[in-house]
Formats: sequence, C-alpha cells, structure tokens
Amino acid sequence: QSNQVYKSSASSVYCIHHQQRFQKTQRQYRIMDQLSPEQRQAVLMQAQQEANQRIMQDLIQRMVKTCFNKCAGTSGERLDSREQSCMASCQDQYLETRAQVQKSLEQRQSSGM
Amino acid sequence: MPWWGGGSDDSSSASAATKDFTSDDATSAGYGASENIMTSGIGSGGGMAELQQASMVLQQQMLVQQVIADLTDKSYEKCVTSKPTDGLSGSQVACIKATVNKWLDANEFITGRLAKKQQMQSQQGQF
Repeated sequence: QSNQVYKSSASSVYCIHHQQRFQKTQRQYRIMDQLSPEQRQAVLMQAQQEANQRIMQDLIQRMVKTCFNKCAGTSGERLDSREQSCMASCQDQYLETRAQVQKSLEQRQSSGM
Repeated sequence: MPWWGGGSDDSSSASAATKDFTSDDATSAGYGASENIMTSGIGSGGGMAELQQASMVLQQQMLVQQVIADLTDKSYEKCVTSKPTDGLSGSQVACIKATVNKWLDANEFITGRLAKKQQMQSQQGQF
C-alpha cells in the first residue's frame, strides 16, 4: 500500500529513502517467515531482553546522577565512607520512590482516568 | 483508556506495563518491563504479524518506562529533599503520589485546553 504514496510524492530523494526503508522491513519480515516458531520466539525474547537491559541501564544512570548530586562532596580524593553510606540510602530511597510512582500509576489506571 | 493514551481496553495489560518484574525472571534482570512480549499473547500469524505486534508492544513499553523514569526523577527531586535515611516517610510517600497525579492532571489539562483552542480556531476559520 505504501508504494502508492511513493508514486505521488514530488521528491525522488524522499521516494528512494522510504523505498529502502520499506524494503528493509520487508526483508526482516521475510527472514521471520523462514524461521521456525521456536526460532521466532527466541528472536522476540532476545528483543525483550535487550529492551530490559536498556531500561536497567537508564535506571542506573539516573540513580548515579541523582545520588552523586545529593551525596558527593568536593573534598578528598575518593568517595569516603560517609558519602558511600549516603549513596546507599539515596539509592534505596530512589528505588522506593520508583516503586511508589509505579503504584500510583497503577492506581490511577484502575480508577479509570 | 490508559493514561499513556493507548487504545487497548485490556486493563490487566495496563497495570502490567507499569509494574517491574520481581526476582526470578531471567529475562528481566529485575527492573525491566513486565508487559513482556512473551506474555502479551502474540499469535502465530506468520512472521510479519509477529514482528509488527512485538514492535508495538516494545514501543509501548519504552513509552511507559520513560514516563516512570521521568516521574521518579521529578518525585525524588520534589519530595525526598532531606538527607537520605532508611526508607521513605509517610509524608514523602503522600508527596510522591500527589506529584504523579498532578503531573497526569497537568498533562490532561494542557492537552485538553490545546485541543479546545484548535477546535475554536478551526471553527472561526470557517466564517
């Protein structure tokens, strides 16, 4: 169906770019069709795992940023024990905050808003 | 309708999308999304349909997780202001809940008001 859009488009560069993207997607679909159901499951599962990894890494980055800002002073050469225990508490509180956010979102969702 | 605007009427998937996995799921590493490709009931309608559905599920997840992450930052910044201690106090928890709901309200407010403005403008344009 996408080919009709390409024909009516004025810009040939736009056409070619989207034709290539369309063909790439078509290739991916054809590859999927050639796999057995078990292999397809494995591909999807890997996609999910990669997504989860990205989520995890993003979480780590946010925690480091937040707790560094909160806890790290500017004296000494390394993170001292007081700063470390501050980081630990900060991390725990951050994770609890996240849990509360999820809980509030779920409650909002189930109340039908 | 879920607050993230999805069209699904499946309320169980809605709450699942906001939850983290706990524990023993090897695919999640503990803090991934629990609205999993595996649990979202993608049928075997051929490779194309599966890919499309999986892609949509993943996009939904990333959207939801983005909001959770941003709201967590905002809530932490607004509500957990004192030196870190063990656990969150009752008032901090209430503050977090308020922040989340007010943000969602603010979202709806701005969106709705903009839609009204655009509707009024398009009506005026017809006269």
